[in-house]
Parts: sequence; structure tokens; C-alpha cells
Amino acid sequence: MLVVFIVSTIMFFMFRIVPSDPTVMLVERGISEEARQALLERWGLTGSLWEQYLRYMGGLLVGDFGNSFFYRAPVWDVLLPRIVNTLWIAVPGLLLGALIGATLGMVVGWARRGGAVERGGILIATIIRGTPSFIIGIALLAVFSSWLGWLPGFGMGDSGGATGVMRYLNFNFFIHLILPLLAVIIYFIPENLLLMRSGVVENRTEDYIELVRAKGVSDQRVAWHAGRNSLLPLITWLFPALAETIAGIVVIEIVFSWPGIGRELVLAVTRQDYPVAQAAFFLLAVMIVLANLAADLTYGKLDPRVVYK
Amino acid sequence: MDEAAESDFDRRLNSKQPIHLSVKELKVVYHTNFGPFHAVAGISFDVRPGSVLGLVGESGCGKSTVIKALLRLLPESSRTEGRVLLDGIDVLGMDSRSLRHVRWNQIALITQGAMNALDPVIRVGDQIVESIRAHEDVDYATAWRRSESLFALVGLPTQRLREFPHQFSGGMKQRAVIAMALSLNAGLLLADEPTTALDPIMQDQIMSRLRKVQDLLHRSMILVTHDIGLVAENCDEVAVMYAGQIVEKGPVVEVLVRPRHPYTIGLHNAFPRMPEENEERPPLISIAGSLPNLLEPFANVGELRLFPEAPQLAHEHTFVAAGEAPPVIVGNDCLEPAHHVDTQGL
Ligand SMILES: Nc1ncnc2c1ncn2[C@@H]1O[C@H](COP(=O)(O)OP(=O)(O)OP(=O)(O)O)[C@@H](O)[C@H]1O
Ligand SMILES: [Mg+2]
Repeated sequence: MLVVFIVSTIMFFMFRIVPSDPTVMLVERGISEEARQALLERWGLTGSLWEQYLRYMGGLLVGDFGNSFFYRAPVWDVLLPRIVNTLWIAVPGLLLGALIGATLGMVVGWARRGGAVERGGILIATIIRGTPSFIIGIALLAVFSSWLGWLPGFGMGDSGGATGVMRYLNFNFFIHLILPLLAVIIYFIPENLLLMRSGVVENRTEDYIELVRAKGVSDQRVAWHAGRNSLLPLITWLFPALAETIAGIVVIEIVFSWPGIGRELVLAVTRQDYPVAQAAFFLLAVMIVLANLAADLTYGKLDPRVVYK
Repeated sequence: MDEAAESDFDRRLNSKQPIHLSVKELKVVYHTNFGPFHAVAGISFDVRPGSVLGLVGESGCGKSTVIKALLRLLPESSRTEGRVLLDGIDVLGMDSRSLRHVRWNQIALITQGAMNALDPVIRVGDQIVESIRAHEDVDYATAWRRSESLFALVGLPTQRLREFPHQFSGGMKQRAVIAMALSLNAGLLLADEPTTALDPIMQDQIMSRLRKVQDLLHRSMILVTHDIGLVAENCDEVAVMYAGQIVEKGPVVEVLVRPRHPYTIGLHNAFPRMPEENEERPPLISIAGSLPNLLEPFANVGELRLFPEAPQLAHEHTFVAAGEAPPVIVGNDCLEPAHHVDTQGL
């Protein structure tokens, strides 16, 4: 909660410090001074900075982000569909990335020490991890969209007039979804893989693994024990890194022109559309906080030694 | 134990006989950064069906290495040679499917449970169930009921099967590990220092529990320990290891009452005893020198080991020249002097 408060405060002042008057950019020239004042008032830009701040925070408390300068519509109406769009690539992307990454990490961690699988796995994962997400995105675009021409790489496809849930449940949307989703997955795999691997490598020499082996269970089952125990460090490490991951997703949205909240945020900043930018930052902060909460809860589920009182 | 569980128990008990273990010329080399490390240098011994062999020796002499070699649990960076015969079938040459069958079905392991022998994030009961279901085609409920009867056998309340290892005390974990080792009624039990990390009272409880189980089930067993007292109470035969070799072995009474090998005498005297009334407190003798360097097989064995406090030995110091193995004494009736080198056993 405190985090969200601090973030929104910083956001507020950061946009005010930028020495430009949005009305200059957004309001038609030659408008009368009264009309300009009326507009400023509607956007909450009148009064001292302090008054503006109080009004802004008050609005936040009741979930009112004000109106967008650019769209001339309530911020909520602008951002809500964008958030849904982002969730379409972020949630399956992060889940699949974590699942695939952790599984591969288990395989690499369980492979013979110093063997080809271990060396190759670490090498590839490290290279991908060092690659900025826009390079991953551009590489996917270049191969599947430009070169092979298999998949579209721009936007989410024509809605064809469909609204509501049907906007998403159609073939056109899905083929547009594939590449950005793939980019998120690939972007998220290496971190999971490397963390899981080091966990498994550490665990495989533990005493309990020896006893599990002595029990004569299958080798996969032994690896499962090591992997299960490595989930705990994986989760503690992973969630604090989530802010960074979200930054990566923002970039992927831009590369694929995916109309999500991250792309909207960047557009809003360049348009000096403060209310939208502030709200987008605010919502991203909320998402990160929620994700951390989820991390704590899963940790408690996964590790019987953690007790919440 | 209720009746159904008991009959299940009896049936399994009768279904498996104690195993005759015969180890021949077992050698284990660890490949280290400093070169090959000869942790076990060609040892041979037998455990007769239903008997208990005590394996003693100071820390680092290779006891655990022997135990792990029998189950082929040693790391990939090691090499094992020789033969480990279970009722005549060699474990070392076996393919991985047969090996899986041997593990727990025929040889079960009791490790130092007080440390982290149990998976910390899995319920204790489920870990026992896992050992059963890895080998027998029974459903979860049946396996769970058997786990309950095993818990009862080692004196643990059956509700605690649902708990996690961290909710157990050290002694309880040790019992749980013993219960798990009994889950398939394996013909051979390997107990590697089952009581070392426990306080003396708990040690005593665990050992008497183990003895009761042994009286009931008559398994063949190897008991690894530092504690000569435990050997005297629990074992039929004893093998004394020193620097990767068995330097003396035979029936417990003979070896402990009249130890022949200088190292055994040293070990024997290093064990504190309560003095009788009016008796002078016997001096506590420490073993001089340190373990030889096993990176060079047999290079320094015996060189540094003098036992000046052991008067029996004053006239027959055992020295082994560099490059030679220390003497091995088999049985105790032999009238050979202690420095006799039994090349046969090496
Ligand atoms: N994985 C390994 N790699 C290299 N050397 C090892 C390895 N495991 C054990 N050793 C060495 O082998 C020797 C024998 O070890 P082992 O664990 O068998 O001794 P131990 O008799 O069981 O000792 P303790 O009574 O302390 O348990 C030791 O010197 C140890 O350092
Ligand atoms: Mg040991």
C-alpha cells in the first residue's frame, strides 16, 4: 500500500516538473482565454500545485483518474481495454515462460555435471537473458513475419466489428497474439531456467536426495524432488525481478504495436497526457504489488515451514 | 497395530528372507582435483543371513563410502570395483532396472535421520508411501495404512504421518527414517550412524527400538558406528576399518575382549569407561598421529601410528613400510603376532 502511495506521488510531481504546458500542445490555437480556463479546470490543472496534488490523490482513492487530455475521455475508459490486452500476453506469457523455464532448468540441473546439456543449456540461456527484449521481438518479427510471412506482427488484427469477449475469441486475434506472446515467453524463460538449475544443482547433493535414490524410485522422480525443493528459491528470486520483467513486456508491446497498457503509457508520455500516464504507472505499480503478494502466498503454500499467523 | 495391519506385516515378513551379503575386494576411488583418492582399498567381508555386522573406525576411514557403494549411491566422480553379492547376485554389475529393484526391496538404508535425510517439503507419510509404491503395485490408501503400522512399530503416533519433517524432533525423525527403511521388509538393512546426532538418552531409545525390530524381523544388518559400546550390545561380528581397509574382523566378543590390531586396541582404549569402585580411573588414550594420505595408496600407513599408552603392544609395535598395506587380522583365535600381514585379505 505504501509503495503504491509513494509511486503515485512521485508520478504526480514528475509530470509537473516537466516544464511544458499541455494546453499549448493539446488545445487548438486561438482559443479564447475563458475557454482555456474552462478546459484547465476540467483537467484539474487549476489552482496551486498542492491543490492539484490533493485533488489527484483524492481522485485515486475513489478510483477516479480524471480525464485524458488526448482522448478527451475518462482515463478508465481508455485504459481498461488496454489492460485486458496486456493481460492477454502477460499472463499466459509469464506462466508458460515460468513453466517451460523451470522444466528446462530442472533438466539442465539434473544433467551430468560438465556435460554437453549443462554447458549448452547455460550458454544459450545466458545469451538470451543478455538480449534486450526488443531484439527478441525484432528477431521474431524478422523471421516469422517478414521472411517466412507466416504470422502477422502488427497490432491485434481487425475486430471485424466484434465487441466484448468476442473481440478476443476469434482466429484473427489469435494469430496476432502468437508472436508477441512468444516473445514474452522467450524473454521470461532464461531467468527461470538459470534459477531453477542452480537450485537443482544445489539440492542434488543434499542428504535427502541420496535417500530418495536409495529408495529405488525412477530417476525422473528423484529429479522431481530436487526440482520441488528448488521452486522455493526460484519464487523468492523471481518476483522481486517482476518490475524489470514488466519493463520488458512494455518494450515487446511497442515492437509488436500491441495496444496494451505499456505501449499506451509510452504514448501518453510523449503526448504529455499526464492523467493517462499517471494512471498507467499507478496500475503497473499495483500489479507489481499484487504479484508480490501472490508470491508470498504461493511461497507459504509451497514451503510447509512458512507459517502465517 | 491393528489385526489387519499385523497380518499384512506377517505376510510380508514371511515373504522375504534375510539376505546373505558377501563383499569381495571392494575398491572405491574418488576422483578429486588432487588426483585419485583411494577411499576404500579392496575390502572383503560377509554378513551372514540374520546377523548384525558392526563396522567401526575413525572418522574418514571410509565407512559411509562402503555403505553407499553397496547401494551404488556414490557420485559419478567415483569408481567402484570388486563384487557385492546379494545371495550370490552381483549388485555392481547390474543394469539400472535390476538395481532399482534391489534398492529398498532388498537393501534398505537407515541414514542419520536427525540431519536432513527427509525431503523437507513433503509429508513424512508421503515419503514412506513413495518408497512402498515405487516397488509394489498397491493403492495410496493401502500404502498409507502400512505406513501407519510402521510408525506404530517404531513407537510414533500415527497422526504425525501427516506432518512435515521440520515438525519432528531429531529422535522422531530418526524413528521415521527407521520406519521407512522397514517399509518393504528388505532382507538387508544398512544403518549408517543411526544415532550419532542424538543425545545419549535418545540414542539409547533408538538403539533399543532397533534391537526390538531386529529381534522381531531378523534382518541381516550392517551397523556403522564410532561407538564400541553399541557394537558390543548390538552386533554379532565386527569389522574394524582403518584408512580404507579392514584391519581386524571377527566375532564381537573376541575382537572386543582381546583386540589384536594396534588400531583396534587404540580405538578400544579411546572409549571411556566408568571405573569400578576403588579402581583407579583408567587412562583415556587418544590415538596418535593422523590419517595417512590416501591420495597415495598405502604410502604412509602405519608410519605415524604409535600407541605408546597401550602396554600390550610395547613389544610388538606394528610398523608397515611405506607402500605396504597394514596388517589384517581375521578372527582372534589365531596365535599369530599382530604384525602378521595377511595378504590374502587385501
Ligand atoms: N564425494 C567425495 N569426493 C571425494 N572424497 C570423498 C567423497 N566422499 C568422501 N570422500 C572422502 O573419503 C573418505 C571416506 O569418507 P567416508 O564418508 O566414507 O568416511 P566415514 O568413515 O563414513 O567417516 P565418518 O565417520 O566421519 O562418517 C574421507 O576422507 C572423505 O573425505
Ligand atoms: Mg560416515
